[in-house]
Amino acid sequence: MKMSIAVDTGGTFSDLIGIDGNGELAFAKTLTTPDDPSRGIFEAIRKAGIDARAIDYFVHGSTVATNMLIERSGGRVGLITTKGFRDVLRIQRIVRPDSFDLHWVKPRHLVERSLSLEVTERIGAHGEETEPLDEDGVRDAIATLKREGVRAIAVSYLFSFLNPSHERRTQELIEEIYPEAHVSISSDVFPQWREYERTSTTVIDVYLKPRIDTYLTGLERQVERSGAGGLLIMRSNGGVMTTASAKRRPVTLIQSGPAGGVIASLEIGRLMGIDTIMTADVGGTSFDTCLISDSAPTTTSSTELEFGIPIANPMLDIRSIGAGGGSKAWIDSAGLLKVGPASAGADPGPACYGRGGSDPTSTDANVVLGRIDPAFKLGGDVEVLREPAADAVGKLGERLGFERERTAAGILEIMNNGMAEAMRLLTIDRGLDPREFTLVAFGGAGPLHAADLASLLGMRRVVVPIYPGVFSALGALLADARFDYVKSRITFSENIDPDVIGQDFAELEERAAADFEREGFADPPRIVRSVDFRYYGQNWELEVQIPGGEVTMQSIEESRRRFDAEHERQFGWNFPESDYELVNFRVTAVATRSTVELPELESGRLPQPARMGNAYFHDAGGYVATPIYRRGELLAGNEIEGPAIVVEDDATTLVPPEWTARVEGYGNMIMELA
Amino acid sequence: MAAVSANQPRVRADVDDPILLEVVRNYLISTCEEMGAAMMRTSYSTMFNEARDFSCGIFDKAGEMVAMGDFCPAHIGAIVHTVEWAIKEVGPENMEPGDVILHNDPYRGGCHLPEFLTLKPCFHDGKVVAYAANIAHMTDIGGMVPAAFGDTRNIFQEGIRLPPIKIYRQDREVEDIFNIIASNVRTPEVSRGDLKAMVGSTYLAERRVIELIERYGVDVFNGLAERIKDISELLVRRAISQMPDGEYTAVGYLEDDGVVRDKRYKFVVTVVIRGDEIIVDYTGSDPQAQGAINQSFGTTASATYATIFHMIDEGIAKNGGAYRPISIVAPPGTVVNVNYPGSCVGGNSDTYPNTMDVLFAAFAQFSDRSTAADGGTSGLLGFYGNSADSGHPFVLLHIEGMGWGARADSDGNDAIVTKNGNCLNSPCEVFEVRYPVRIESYRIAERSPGVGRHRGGYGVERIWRCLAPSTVSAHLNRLMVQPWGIKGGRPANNTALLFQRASETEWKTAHELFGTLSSGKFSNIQLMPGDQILLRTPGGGGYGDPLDRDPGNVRRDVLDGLIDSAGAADVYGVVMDADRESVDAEATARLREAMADAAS
Repeated sequence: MKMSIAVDTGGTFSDLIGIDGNGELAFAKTLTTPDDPSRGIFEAIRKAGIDARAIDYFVHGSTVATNMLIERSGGRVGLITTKGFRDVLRIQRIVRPDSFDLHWVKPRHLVERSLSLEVTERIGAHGEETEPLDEDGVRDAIATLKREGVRAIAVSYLFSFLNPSHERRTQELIEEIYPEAHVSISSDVFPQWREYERTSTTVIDVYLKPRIDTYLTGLERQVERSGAGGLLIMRSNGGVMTTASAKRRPVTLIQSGPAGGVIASLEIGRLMGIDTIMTADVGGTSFDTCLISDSAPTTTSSTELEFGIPIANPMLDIRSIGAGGGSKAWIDSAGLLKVGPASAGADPGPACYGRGGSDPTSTDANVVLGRIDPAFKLGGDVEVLREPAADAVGKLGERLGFERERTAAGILEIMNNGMAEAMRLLTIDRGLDPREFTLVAFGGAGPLHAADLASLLGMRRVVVPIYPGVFSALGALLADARFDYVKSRITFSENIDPDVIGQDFAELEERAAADFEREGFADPPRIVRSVDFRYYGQNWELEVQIPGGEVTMQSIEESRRRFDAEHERQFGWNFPESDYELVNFRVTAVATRSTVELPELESGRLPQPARMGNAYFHDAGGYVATPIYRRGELLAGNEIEGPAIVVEDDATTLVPPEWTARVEGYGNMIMELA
Repeated sequence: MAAVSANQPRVRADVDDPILLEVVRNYLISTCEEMGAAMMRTSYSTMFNEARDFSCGIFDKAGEMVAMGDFCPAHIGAIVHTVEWAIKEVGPENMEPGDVILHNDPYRGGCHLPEFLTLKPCFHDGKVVAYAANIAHMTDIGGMVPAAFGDTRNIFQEGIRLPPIKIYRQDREVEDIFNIIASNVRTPEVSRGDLKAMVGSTYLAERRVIELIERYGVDVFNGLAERIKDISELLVRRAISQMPDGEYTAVGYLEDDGVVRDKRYKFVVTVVIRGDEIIVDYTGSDPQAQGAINQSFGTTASATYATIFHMIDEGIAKNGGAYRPISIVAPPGTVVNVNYPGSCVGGNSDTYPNTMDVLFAAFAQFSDRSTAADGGTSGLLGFYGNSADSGHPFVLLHIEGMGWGARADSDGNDAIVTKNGNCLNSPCEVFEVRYPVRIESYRIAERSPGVGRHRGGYGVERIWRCLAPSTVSAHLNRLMVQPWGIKGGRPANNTALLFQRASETEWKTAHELFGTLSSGKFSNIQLMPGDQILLRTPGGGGYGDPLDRDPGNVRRDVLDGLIDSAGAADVYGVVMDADRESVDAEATARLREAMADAAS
């Protein structure tokens, strides 16, 4: 029996989900082994009882790239750049994170100043060559970097996104003179305007290359040796790619972990006919949220390594704050209760683990309030103790002058409000109203907080999907192959030439076709074209789709009208008579990768609760008898009225009073406010 | 957005509940951040969406600030006075649902003409219950200088001045006002778009505040607003009471007002710490200048509050309560409190950081948290011409980074905007696509900082080449006065602004080449294709004796190519090995001893 698996290697746990041709599922959770992540991966395969030789589809999501950047554990990087601009990485964008912090120290970029080398050359603002490339100068620069033993070289010249010839020639010279070096050129990595952001991203890409190359090559070998096949890597944009592509462009691995949960939400939404979703992924230390609007996750083109060090890379717009099951509650100098961002982590963990943690966490608050019942183990094997949780919360309450329950409810209230504010900001950034969204909640603690979060945001529907504890891995298993291409050509409305734009798209689509062929697809990918528009004088763009086929003034006009409409919708005003600019031309190429189909759940009568618990609800005035069901016993069509609790191995769902939960055909639970 | 009906609150809530307090406090701060996000997304000009030169706040019904977003420090003092003034002048009794008030008058609590305030009274049950306010820098406001900064001599040359007036009534634009503004500025569409973005953000805030009030009731909201302010007041008082009582006076000079040649202006500050209160007294400062360097009271208040907030714990929420323990004495008719119709547009750009530096020098007399002087110029150059891409007229206000002063615990940061702003620079590629210029180079200005145990941060140097005729105006500082060091740290190098004609090879000052009175503050000089501009901003002053500098840090600067081995020995007494890779510890100790002996 052939097996498809996905392994998501996170900071603490490696999660595995697998499915065979009969729709039989397998799971495992193992500790991540940071020194050699593949050990954790193969341990998970063993633990799930999967024969590696049966695996023919194997998606791996990894935090290796992200961790390398956080720890700055890569080697030295060299930069070859345009004469006059060696300090772009040191100058950055001249801003600071806090307007009143006198003691802030500006983060350094990854390139030492002495390894930032200038070469005479210049491309002008229209892509024309204004000074030829000084090849002798390039050779000197390469010789210097070689002498210094630098194995990673970034090349970033001004306006290379309009004319990459100088960067390409420089790359050829590096390959000729110093073939052992890894190279990234900015016109390949991020062909868009703004030299600092482009250079920064190119440097980060090449910084990752030597170690990612070693890691993935080692993993390929082990997979091959185990008899498994079909290895693919999860990307920041929510798609999958081959290891060859990952080695070529490792910056696209960054933050690929949380992308899995969003892709799984999208796919579950598609099965259920829900296309407007906000995700709430509550893990041990962090809360991640993302929007899915009209069946498309919202994307962003930039994140940061540290403040002021951008990584421009198409990725899902996932916002994180430090709030999770391990978030500690504390009292600040003004006597106010705070929650997070410090976390008790996995060790010692929350007080209720009984491993010596004495600070109350949000998990302890849930234990105190009966929302996590000590009769059930967390994650299937962690014993929950009520007494240490009650002690920890009680002690904090004494300092506030509150009884224990009020303190516990307060901890959750503050944490929930913090998460809700992050979600609200995400919708405001897009001009959207959270009330129009369905909340999909996952992660160990997501389903526990989901109904409260939805209430705070005025959302009336929550989906607690199947396998919420390994949901990111499920997303990796279901993801498509997806590559993004962009070309910057800033075009004023009066100067539009449809033929030039048509050539730009043709060029991007040729690249897409070549990449998908290299990825092993026989057929060309599905193509979606879009253009970033803005009114003349604006500095932000809105991306709108443009039809395929021949580009004409008519098709551009049509997109322009779409832009006006979108501008009105998002910002409440538009300016149809204004001049405008086209800034970036984009192509997204997608091909279906996964053939996994989720099994349907049989229907039946509501089972008896596993036991009766006692959970505290502030609005209900105290403790209320609350039935606790096992998720695994529920069947399609079951309806549960709140208050109720549904437990499974690595997640707990709270159905508060006035909410109902219904199990749909694939086993997902839909909770609605009565 | 009509007034809301007088429903009972939906949730039973208690003013004394500290959990509710924390929830509401965060809610209001988030609301301010959401206003900012909406502004960034919907505005037109670079000053808003790239430079983020705006601030958002929520005020209670008495006009005291309850919450703010991540503020541009230039506004932090002015907004409280300007909101107070606008409320007083219009009168709450004359406000109606759907009103939005606009105001930019520096003599009525504002900071300088380019900062426009929009203020929206929030109504519940027919009464004003709060205000949403937004203050933002408009790039062009008419007047004799494109983008406003140059060598103006009075307020009428600076641009259009608006007392508190309603620009929205009953949720509709007052067209006449928009038309008056549009007719008086160089880029009317930009102004119109930006004003709409500002107004839009106040609507968003009103909606959020009213939702909160509907949830908990107006009495609980009012009570919590008081407590939120009281907490900040308590924390500020606690921080001040840890400072030693006393009077600490510092004097600093600001060069050149652009109008009177070679005159320096004295700024005197006396910081009085008395228990848990601070009085900052500017008595003794020079009479107001003829040029644009004067500070309005709002600007002086901002510089004062911003410095104090830098000196105390940065975690304290800034709101009306945080201001209460701080008093300011600024005699009218002086450089720190300009009288009508004195010019003051530069007071909020380059005088402000100078005032902060003088204040920091006063604080340094008793505190280790203080700093040497920053590079102290915002690098403001105003360009006016026709766009490279569209051919349309453009006004561009250029902002540049400079070096931070060194601190007791670390070197100054390189290339950061002055502390009164927090604006992004313009990428070279954006410059060249938009405007008819070519950037020849953009580098760290080597040798710019003052040395010391900790050295100042580095300034930058940028060279432009004009590709089409355009005019340039400037309002820069520190071409004459060096950014000073403290506690034995050395001063940094000066600002340089130089020009080179296409046909020549020599760099000259504006005075030499164009005959302007000042080489740092002037308006509308004409540049032709091929002409070049060089702007070099100063580094920050040094902190402590250079001979105490950690040799490892000297080595790092040598490896970075910021100083050579000879310089390391001359300035720091650090001897590098012949390979320049490592420090010769013994030789360093000997040299430092000899240098210390020679100095004493």
